[in-house]
Amino acid sequence: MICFYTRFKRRLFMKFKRGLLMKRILYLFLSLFVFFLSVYAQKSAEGDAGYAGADTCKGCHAEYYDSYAKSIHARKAVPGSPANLNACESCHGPGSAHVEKGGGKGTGMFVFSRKADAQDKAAKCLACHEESRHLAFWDNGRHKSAGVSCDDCHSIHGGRGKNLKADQPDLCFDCHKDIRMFSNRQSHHPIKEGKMNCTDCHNPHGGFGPKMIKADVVNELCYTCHAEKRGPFRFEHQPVAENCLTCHNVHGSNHRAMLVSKPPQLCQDCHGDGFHNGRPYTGQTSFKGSSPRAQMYSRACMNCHTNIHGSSSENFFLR
Amino acid sequence: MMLIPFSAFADEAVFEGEVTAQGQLVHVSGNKANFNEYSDTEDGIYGAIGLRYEKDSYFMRFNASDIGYDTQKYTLDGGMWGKFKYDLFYNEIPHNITFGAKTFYSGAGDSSLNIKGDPDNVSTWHSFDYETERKRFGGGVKLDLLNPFFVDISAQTEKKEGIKPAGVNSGFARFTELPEPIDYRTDTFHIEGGYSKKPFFVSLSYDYSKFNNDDQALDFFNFINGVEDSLTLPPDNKYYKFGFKGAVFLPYNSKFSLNAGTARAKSQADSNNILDINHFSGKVDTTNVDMVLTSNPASFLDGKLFYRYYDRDNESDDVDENLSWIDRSLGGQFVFKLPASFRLTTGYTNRRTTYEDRFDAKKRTDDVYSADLSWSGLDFATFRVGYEYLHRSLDRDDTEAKADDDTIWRFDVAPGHRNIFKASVDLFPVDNLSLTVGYKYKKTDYEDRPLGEATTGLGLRDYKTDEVFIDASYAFAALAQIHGYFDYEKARSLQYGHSDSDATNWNVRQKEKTFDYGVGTDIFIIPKKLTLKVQYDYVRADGSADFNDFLGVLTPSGSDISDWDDYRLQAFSVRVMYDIMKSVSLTAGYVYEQFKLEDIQLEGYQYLPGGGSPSYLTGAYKDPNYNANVVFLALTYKF
Repeated sequence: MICFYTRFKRRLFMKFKRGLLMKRILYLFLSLFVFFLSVYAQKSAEGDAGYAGADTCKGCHAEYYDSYAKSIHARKAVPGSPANLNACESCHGPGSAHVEKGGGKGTGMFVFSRKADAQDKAAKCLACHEESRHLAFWDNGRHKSAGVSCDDCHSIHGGRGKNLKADQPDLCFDCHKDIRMFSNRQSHHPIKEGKMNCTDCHNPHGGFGPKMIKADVVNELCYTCHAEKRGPFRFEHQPVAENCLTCHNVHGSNHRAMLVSKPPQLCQDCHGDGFHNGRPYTGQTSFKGSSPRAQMYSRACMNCHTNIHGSSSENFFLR
Repeated sequence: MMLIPFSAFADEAVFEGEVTAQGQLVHVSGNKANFNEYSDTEDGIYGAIGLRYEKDSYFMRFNASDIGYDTQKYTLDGGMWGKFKYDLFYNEIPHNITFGAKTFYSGAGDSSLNIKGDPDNVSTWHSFDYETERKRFGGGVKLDLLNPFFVDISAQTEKKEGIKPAGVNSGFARFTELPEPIDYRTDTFHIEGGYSKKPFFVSLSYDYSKFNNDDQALDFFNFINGVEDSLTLPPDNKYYKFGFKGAVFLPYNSKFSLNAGTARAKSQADSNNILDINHFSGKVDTTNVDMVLTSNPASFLDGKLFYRYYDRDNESDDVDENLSWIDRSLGGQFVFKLPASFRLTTGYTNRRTTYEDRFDAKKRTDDVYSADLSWSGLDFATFRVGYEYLHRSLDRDDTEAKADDDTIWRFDVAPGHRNIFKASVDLFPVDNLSLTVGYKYKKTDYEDRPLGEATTGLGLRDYKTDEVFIDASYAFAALAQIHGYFDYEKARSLQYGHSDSDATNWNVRQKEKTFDYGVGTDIFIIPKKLTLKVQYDYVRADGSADFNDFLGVLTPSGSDISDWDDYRLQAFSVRVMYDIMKSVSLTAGYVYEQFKLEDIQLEGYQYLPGGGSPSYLTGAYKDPNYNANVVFLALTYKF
């Protein structure tokens, strides 16, 4: 009897306890639900509060509004575009306070000015574009660490293809003036002729390659257009196989074939000792000199060492 | 405040475009190939078309330029935003070297040359052009239908045809310049698939490239040696690479990225009976791994740590020298945003390259230190200074060069150090005026030699450059805009050589001064109706080489070179653009371009240098000077 009672009491107790537990769990879920509901409502309220609306922006900033309206950012058909969010205020922030104060600075609006922090400006764009595969490695790139922001190259309010502020290479030359200088030289890649762009070789959005090139090593990039140099050759030329930039200035040079200096001197930087390769090839050995030599005039060492990038025949690259 | 109806943002169909027809007259005196090195500017009518269509989320663009000419280019791209994109293209790129070259061989451009002229009488030789043309076509598609999953596929074929200069020796003193045929085809394919959604990015890729050369050798009769001879040409090759890329966001605004790849290049070179060489199969495997950790844990600090590994393994059969190596880099970079608008970037990289069978180097080690400081405390100016120091050491133990006490140190591995200093200022005193001034100094010394090693220090000893850049632009309200630039570089190098036959050392000091400047103006005579654009650009280079030797016999008076790739290039253009009506505009213009080169390697050019025992040249790069005048009139219709 007592056992039964005890068991009954225990069962009752357990039932009570389970019931209490269930109640507590129920209360907990209800509380959480109410909490999150209120948070959502709060955010929604905040989301609506503070935004003035694009119509209001246009009232004072008609020129900017018109340029935005013509841009891809104003197209509702584009998933995730500002046109489907808060238009101008998607990037510049809620504008109610700005409007209430009659406009002007210091009202909490984000302005893409020269003084604004590059990282803050980039963060505005990355808020939507961060998951783009083209920006997956933006953090690795030199542009980010150098304080370049998206609006240095792109015009959010429209522009040329890909919303660029200017066409290549002028856009890149705005900062990379030394590259502009090299590309103006007599021996150059056809960049200023419009047959190549900087982005044919470089990824301005960052990556893993040196100098943000679109390859893991320099030679791999060069071989995409100059596959005949890839080999492998039976007889390889060490500096060629290791790095094309040992001998070439890829952006332009005063010397034929974009060489960093003129043969025979370029070659004698490594091969300046011996019999014929150890001689100084001076003005006397040119066409008009007292003793013209094949190692000097016309194409100098390449008059004979034609297969300088590698040969299937022999190790002096003569055949 | 206007009420903007909701329909104003509805995506109505947009179809617009423009067609341009440009007639031009061209007069070139001098080297037409050099004037048209990468272009095809001649008398004629040039056409260009640009079309754009957009409706809802669908868009399409078509562009065509230089229709029918050697520089013609067509692109078609389009897609649906957020779903897919496609592109197709066709592009021709000429590269003209010399028109009217000469040879006593017939069959220029073929893989076999026959003598069909008197080698010692240039007037009997045949004329041909050193020129090549690339024809590139392909396309691709990017799929985002299953976003965040994506797939990118692209393929391209390039045909390159033409003739380029080559040369074959007959002993040490004589050679024959030949027209080498170019008949290349390169096919490439790329596919990448992956997933991109915070906090992960993952992709796998495959790249394939196949190079085919229709001519494996150039066979010819060697007139000097009196024998059948042959020059091997680039062998066919294939390349394929598997790659993996990944990134994951971590706490404290950090990100870890990984790039890994493995690739193989294989080549097949035919046997050559004339040269008595067997068939060759080349194989080179490469492996690379890159790891990068970036972090922005606080607003004032941005950091990056990286590690790179690259392994090249030459597994070709029957190679003379096994060029295999492993490259490892380890380093970091930190950006500090300091008070008072200062920004400091510091970096360090340690790079080690270990060679397997390089005769003069076992291990090369580079330590690179860098620091950059910028200040933007003023609204109208930003100042920057930077410094980089590289120290290179070389381990030559157990190499052939060490055993032979090799006296020359190849500069790509030679121990030494390099200093780079740069400074610039960007000024924006008023909204419509900008001015940039920059300076860069670089000095590389290859002078470090371990005690006990040969100290003759042959080869490149030092290399110095000074660079100055100036840029300015000013807009006079809506009336006109003026812009200009100036670049200057002075480069100096010192090189030592040793003549075995004279048992003495010599050296040469080379100098190059290059400056270029440009000035242009846009004058809005009638704003948005009539515009005048004028532009002038000038490039000038002056080089020299001064020789010295200890015996004083190798470099007698008259040895120094003052014409060492000295050239002037100037271009002037003026164009008037008139909008006849909203959809029609007329552009008239004139372009003048002049190029003048003075270079001792081409001055007094001879097809048969060497007197009674001549070598035989074809005129490659001879007489590169030109003057060109172009007058054009273009009509553009926009719709």
